[in-house]
Amino acid sequence: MTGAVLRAIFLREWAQALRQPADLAWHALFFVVVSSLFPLSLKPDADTLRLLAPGVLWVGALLAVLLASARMFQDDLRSGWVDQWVLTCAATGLPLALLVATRLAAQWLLAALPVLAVAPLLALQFGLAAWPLAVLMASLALGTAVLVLVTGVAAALAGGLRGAALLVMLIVLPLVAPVIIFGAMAVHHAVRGQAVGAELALLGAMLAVALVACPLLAAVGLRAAVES
Amino acid sequence: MTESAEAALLACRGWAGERGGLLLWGPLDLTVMPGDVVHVQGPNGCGKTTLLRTLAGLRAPAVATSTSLCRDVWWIGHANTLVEDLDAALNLRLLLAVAGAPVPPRTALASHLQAAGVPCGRPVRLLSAGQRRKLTLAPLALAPRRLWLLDEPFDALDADACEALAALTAGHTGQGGAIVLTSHQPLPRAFPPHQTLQLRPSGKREQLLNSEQSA
Repeated sequence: MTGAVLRAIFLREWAQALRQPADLAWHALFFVVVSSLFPLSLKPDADTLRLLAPGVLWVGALLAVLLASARMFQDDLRSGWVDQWVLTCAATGLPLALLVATRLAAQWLLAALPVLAVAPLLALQFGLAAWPLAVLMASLALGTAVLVLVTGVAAALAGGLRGAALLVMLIVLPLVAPVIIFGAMAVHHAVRGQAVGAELALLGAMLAVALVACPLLAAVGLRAAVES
Repeated sequence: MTESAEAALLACRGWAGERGGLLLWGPLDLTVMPGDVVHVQGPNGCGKTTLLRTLAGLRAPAVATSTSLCRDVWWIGHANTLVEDLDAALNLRLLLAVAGAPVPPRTALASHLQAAGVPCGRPVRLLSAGQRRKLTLAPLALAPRRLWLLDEPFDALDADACEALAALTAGHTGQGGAIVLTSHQPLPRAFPPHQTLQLRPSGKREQLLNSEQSA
C-alpha cells in the first residue's frame, strides 16, 4: 500500500506534465534563450566564450529549474491534495517526509531533465570540449537536485501565503550560492584541465545532506500550511 | 461511560475553534456514535469547515479538554481535489490510491463513473461543476470507511445526484458508519435521520483568542 500511495503522488505530477509538454519545454527554452543571449551581447571570440561558459550555463540552468519549481505545492495545497497526504500518514503511520520526498523526486525529473537535455547543445555553442561537458552534466545533475530539494522546503514554508513564488526565490537564492560556486568552479577547472574531484565531492555531500534534511523540513512546513 | 467512549467514533469535549487568531466557536462537546448523522449548520464564516478539518485531524483544536478522533475517515473538502488535464478515471484512481484505499480494476471504475453520469475518458477541465463534485465524492462508494466528513457535498449536484448520495449515506449509516456534514441546503428527504449542530458566531469575534482563554 505504501507503494501505491507513493506511485499515486508520482504519477499525478508525471501524467500532468506529459499532458502539458509545453510547460516542460518552456523552462528548457528559457535556459536556451538566456544562455544564447550572453554570447550575442559579448565579444564573440572563442577564448572569452570558453571563460564565460561555466558561469553562464550554471546560472541559466539554476534559474530555469528554480522558475519551474517555485510554485511547487501551491496547487497541491489549495486543492486539498496535501490534506490527503496528511490524513493517509495519520491513518497508516507513513512518514509525511517520504511522501514529500516522492513529490520532490518527481519535481526534479520534470524540472531538471529537460534542462539537462539541452545543456550539451548549449555547451557546444560555447565551445566546451568533451571532458568539461561531462563535468558540467555531472555537476548540474547534482546541483539541480540540491536546488529542487531546497526549493521544496521554501515552497512548503511559503505554501499557505499569497505571492509565495517571490518569497521562495528570495529564500532559495542565498541558500544555493554554494552550489553555484562549486558547480561553476568544477567546470572551470575541467576547462583548464585541472582536477575536479573536490568540487564534485562537495556537491555530492551537499546533496546527501539535502536528501536527508529537506524532505523532513518540507514536511514540517506542509503540516503548518495544512493547519492554517 | 468508558464503554460508550470506546464505541464512539468521535468524542470531543470542550473544543474551541480558532482561525487567524479569532475564536470561531466553542466550547463544543460532540460525540458521534456509529449510525449517527450530524448536520453542522451556521452562517457563512462561522467555522463549519474549520470544525470539519479539526474533526479530520488536519488541524488541532485551539482548546480541548479531551479528544478522540477516528482515523478510518473520508474527508471530502469543499475544493475538488482534481487535476484539470487528466481524465476522470485517472483522477479517481489517484484519489483512491493516495488515500491508501484499494483501487478497483479499470472496468469497475469506468462502470461506476458511467452509472453516476461522469464520462470517464474526459479531461476534468471539460466536466461540469456537478460532474466534478460527483467525481470527488466517488471514493465514498468505492472504498468503505467508517466516518465520512463532507464539506458541502450537495454543492452543484442535481436533484437525482442528491437523492443518490442520500441513498448512499443511508446504506453507510445502516452498516454502522457515521457522517458529519455541512450543507446550506436542506438535506434530501431520503437522507437518514440526523441531528443538527448549530454553530453560532461566538459574539466575541473581535476578541483575540488569548484573552478568550484567560476569561
